[in-house]
Amino acid sequence: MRYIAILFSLTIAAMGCTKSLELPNTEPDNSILVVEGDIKTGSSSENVFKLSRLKPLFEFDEIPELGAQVEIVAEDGRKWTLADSKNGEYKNVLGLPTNIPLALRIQTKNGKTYESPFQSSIESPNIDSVTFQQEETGVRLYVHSSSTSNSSKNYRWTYTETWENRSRYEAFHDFVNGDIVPRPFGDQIYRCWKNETEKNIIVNNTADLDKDVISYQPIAFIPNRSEKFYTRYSILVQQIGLTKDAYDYWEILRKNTELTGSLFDPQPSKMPTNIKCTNDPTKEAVGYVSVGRVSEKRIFIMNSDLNLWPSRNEEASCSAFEFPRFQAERFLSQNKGFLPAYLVTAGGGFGVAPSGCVDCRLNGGINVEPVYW
Amino acid sequence: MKKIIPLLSLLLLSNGLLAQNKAPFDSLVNVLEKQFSVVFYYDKTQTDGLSIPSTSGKLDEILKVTLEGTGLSFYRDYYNRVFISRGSTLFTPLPKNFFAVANGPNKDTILPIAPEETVVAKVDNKVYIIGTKGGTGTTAVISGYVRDGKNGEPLSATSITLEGSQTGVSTDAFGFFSITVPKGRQAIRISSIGMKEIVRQLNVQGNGSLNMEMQEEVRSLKAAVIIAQKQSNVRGMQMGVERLSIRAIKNIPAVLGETDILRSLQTLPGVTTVGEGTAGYNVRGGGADQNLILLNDMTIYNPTHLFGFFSAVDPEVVRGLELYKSAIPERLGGRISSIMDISTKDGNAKKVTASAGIGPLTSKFTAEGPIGKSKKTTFLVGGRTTYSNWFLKYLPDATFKDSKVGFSDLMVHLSHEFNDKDHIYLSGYISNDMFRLNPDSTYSYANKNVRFKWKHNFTNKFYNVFSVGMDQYDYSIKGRNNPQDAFDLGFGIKQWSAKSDFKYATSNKNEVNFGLQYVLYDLNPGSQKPTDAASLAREKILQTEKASEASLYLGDQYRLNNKLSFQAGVRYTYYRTGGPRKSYIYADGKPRNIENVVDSMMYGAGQTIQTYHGPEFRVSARYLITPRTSLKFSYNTLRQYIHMITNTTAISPTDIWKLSDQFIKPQIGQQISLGLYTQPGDKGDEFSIEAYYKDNINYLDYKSGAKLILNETLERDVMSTKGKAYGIEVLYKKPLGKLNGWLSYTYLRSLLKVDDPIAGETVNKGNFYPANFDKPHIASLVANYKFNQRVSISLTSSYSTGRPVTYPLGVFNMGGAQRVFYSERNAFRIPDFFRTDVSMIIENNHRLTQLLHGSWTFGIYNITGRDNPYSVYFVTDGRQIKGYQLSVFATPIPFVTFNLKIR
Repeated sequence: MRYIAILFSLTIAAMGCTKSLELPNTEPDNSILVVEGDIKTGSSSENVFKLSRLKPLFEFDEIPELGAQVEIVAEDGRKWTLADSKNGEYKNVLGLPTNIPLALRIQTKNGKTYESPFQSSIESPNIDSVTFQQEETGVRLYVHSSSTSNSSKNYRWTYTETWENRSRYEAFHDFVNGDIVPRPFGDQIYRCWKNETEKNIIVNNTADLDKDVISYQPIAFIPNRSEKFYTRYSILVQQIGLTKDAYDYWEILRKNTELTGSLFDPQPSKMPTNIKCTNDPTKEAVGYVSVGRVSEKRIFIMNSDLNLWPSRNEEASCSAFEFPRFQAERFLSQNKGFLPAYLVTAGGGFGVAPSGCVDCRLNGGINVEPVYW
Repeated sequence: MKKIIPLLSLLLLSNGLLAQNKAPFDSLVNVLEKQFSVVFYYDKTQTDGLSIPSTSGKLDEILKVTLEGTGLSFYRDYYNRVFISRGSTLFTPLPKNFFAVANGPNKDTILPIAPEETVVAKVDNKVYIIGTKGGTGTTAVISGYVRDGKNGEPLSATSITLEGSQTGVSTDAFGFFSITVPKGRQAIRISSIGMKEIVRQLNVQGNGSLNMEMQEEVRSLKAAVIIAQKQSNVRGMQMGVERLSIRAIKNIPAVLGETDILRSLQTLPGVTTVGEGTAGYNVRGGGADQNLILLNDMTIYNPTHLFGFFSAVDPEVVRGLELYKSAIPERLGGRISSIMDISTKDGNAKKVTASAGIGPLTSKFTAEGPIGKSKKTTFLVGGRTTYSNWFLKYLPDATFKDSKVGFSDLMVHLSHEFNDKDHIYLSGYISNDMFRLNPDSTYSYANKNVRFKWKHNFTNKFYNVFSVGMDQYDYSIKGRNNPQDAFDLGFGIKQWSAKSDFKYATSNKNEVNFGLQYVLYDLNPGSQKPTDAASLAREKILQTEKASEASLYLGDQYRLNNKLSFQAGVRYTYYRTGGPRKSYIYADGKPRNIENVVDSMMYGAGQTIQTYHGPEFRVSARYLITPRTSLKFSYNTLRQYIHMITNTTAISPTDIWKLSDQFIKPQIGQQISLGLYTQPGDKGDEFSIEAYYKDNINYLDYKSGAKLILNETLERDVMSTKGKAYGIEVLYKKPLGKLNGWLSYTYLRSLLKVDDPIAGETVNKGNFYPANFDKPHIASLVANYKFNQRVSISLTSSYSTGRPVTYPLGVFNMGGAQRVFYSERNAFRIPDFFRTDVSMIIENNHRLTQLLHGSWTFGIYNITGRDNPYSVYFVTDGRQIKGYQLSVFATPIPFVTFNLKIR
């Protein structure tokens, strides 16, 4: 005997759904001190440490740690103090020695003392070059370095970008107390410089490579049409050598940030730290202090170095209205969002434009030319 | 069988013919009926004129004297009915081929009863003569097979009890049993899940064999319920064992109408998973890699398809499964938490049948039947494939969109019976999975297994099963993002194994098991190859790992008296890992890292790197407090030499396995459990409570920032963990009646602790913390109500505490962006899980003559529409961190299935 069973099945499909989840409303544990910065040895580097408190998930504003005493101590007892710049930043150019182990010591206003262990300065090989490649979607910057024999194989890079940002009109006049007056020489608002630091943790190691050579390490990516290349752009890349533990710290920090909590994601790892509270073991700290000599390299990129990069924002509306002087002054009194933009040569009238098209500071940046420019 | 019916009518007729006037024999009957609580059936015309010698003494003796020389004989059956008849008229020959072996050459085959003894009490009650007269001793051994009368499938876990005594045995996986009974007239009762209970009348004259067939319970309702052997929960030796028959599995409402053997397991107490639709399961708070999955003795490393959405074993070929949670028999070993033994059907021995199924996600085909005229060889082939690409479009995760998925599995099983003493079996299994995430990467994994098995009966008390086979699991990732980093990444594990299991039933009271097993492991921990000339991916091939594991075991099961039984076993394993291999030597007592390397060592081919060996103890005892209540105790130790290392919450197909070596010690676990089993009432209800405590050492966890794939020095990135788990499982089963089902509650804790001094770091400051699968409260209800023979409804409902999770607690700025500060590991829990599914089965009719038989199943999965979280995740929204939960089956999902059978 033979039978055949045939199964027909109709099913209405599963639909997934997402909803917001209430995260635990724990008491914000702002007793945890967050320390960011490295001890940078050698003559020229500025040592900057930023202290703050861990902030709760739903808090917008940072909680800077004010009024702390921050110093770098050497194993032989020498000390260097960092100046409190009142916003949670403590900094100084110190010229720290490279031949003696150094540590960070912090005394907070509430009397707790935090210390990092004494560590020898790690030598970082010189950066050979910083290069860029224009790709379809933007410009990618790379760093290249080759090591001396016994340097660290773990590296972290930080950078500061600076670019010139010009306003649409170069104004030689100002509007003061109802009158259009000539702008004093040197008080220009046409050229500004903006700064930006890296937004990602950039670490790499050469442990898997035959030679301790870093080539084509991606550093930054600037998407097409970015204002960074409208005129002139500069990037200062800093490279610091890390111990394996310090490298792991940055890797974990990077990975933990990328986690989404799904079932197939790695679970968050415990973040190591080398900062301990010496007079109260219950107090935790976040951060990892490395000691090393920083090697750095600055390059410049002109707008003309790139193919078809715009030189200004064509979409912004910067139309000017031209008036005789008397009418221009009346218009400017009534419309605070405008400034004199240019002198109409024929007839002595003035072109008046929205402030943002005249004063570059309104688009961010400062109007003081950096020394290296 | 039909010939018995007239016989019965004759008896009933003769009963009605009893004469009215009182003869001396009638008076005797009245006296005897009262005195011995029996009922007489006789033909008055035949008993006229009989004289009464005496009414004192035993009934049998009184009747013997009374009937002597009259040509009449009597038979007293188990139901205390006494039939008096003129012997020869009632003789009915046994139907031809009623037992397949009746015509075989075996001398011990049962023979029809001699004419002068003819008595029949019910349709399938006959008296069979076992063995031949003249042997010495007062007992005899009967052995044989119990099979399903419909298709010749062996019936395992069938209980065979001697009526009127506490003696009982049960059949093994081959349906084989061996029971020692006193010589003389005996009745044995045979009961099995979903089968009609049968009673066989025997006249035991000596050792012999007896093969029996059982028929399916007519009312399929009983099949909807998981009943382990009717009496074995109370009376059986085993504890912490769950059995599911395939019919029980098919009655549990399934997502998208796909019957799933692993999913159904989760309705049982003590089995949990980390999430709905994930691979892997946890038994009594053990890790997912601590479960051994055997399919006809083949080790299946990855039993799931599609990230764990489906089981990789086609339910159509499965006969049933057994899950050992605590008292693991000494013949099994290799994992420390549980062992799941899935057995396939043997192939229909009576006729060739085929079935095909078309489901919303898969299509399947099964064929089985005898080969050749002798019907000594049977085959079973089952295959399944998917077309579930459409399904991916509905998955909420965007990464699944524009992806492709495919899977298939194939099972082949052949069996051949040379004679009653020798059976051989050959099984093969292949499963394949492929999924492509966008066009970039293709993941694939495959199981390949083959096993040959030979069962030989030396005597009817002593047999051996020898088997040899190969198991393989591989996965690969093909990266084709761009030519610069095109690569192939692979991982594979292969094992060859041979084992020989002996079972010797010296008597009903004593059974000895012994045997040996040898496993050879060959593990490829990972390789990466560039696949394009332009590819910058480095070629990296990790050293293979080779190891062997030999085990020897001996166990004895002894029944001291009717109340107390013991079982004690020991299994000794010897593990060895050898070269060729280059490894590092680290400074003693220091964290294993690059800084603490003191030397390196090259082991030559075949050179021993490390050995581990040790005994495992398996002890259990059962005490019957009353005939319906028992207390059981068990203590087990187990060892495991292969480890899975994963850093994700759910196990994923690309998790790697690692063999023990000089750095990674074997996992050793122990479990103590105590249980109370009782049968309240007369309706077969069962109630049980089991409590347990277990702990283990050397479970592997990864260090912070660990790299698990393509890591040559994995010992630097892992650390060993201690685990402990304890819990109580309460189960009430109502197997019979219009309303049947079960209700269970489980309290379960599973905790881990990392305080390895040379790990260099701890988790949660070295304190115990909840494991990912720690779910303290779990309750489930499975109920079935049958309105009539055609309409029934089923309901399953389950609740569990949400799994532990590590939540973000705060944020801070570092490295140019906002970073998340996480809580201690698993310090919080996701919302609780609750789901209820219902289904209704309507069958057309039960007319046998009808060609087409249809049945409809209507159901709703997750009828309350509760959005149980599948996973939770966090995203940075502006400068805030927000939490979201993702639910896969968040709305009630109705489904309709139509089943059509053509005869």
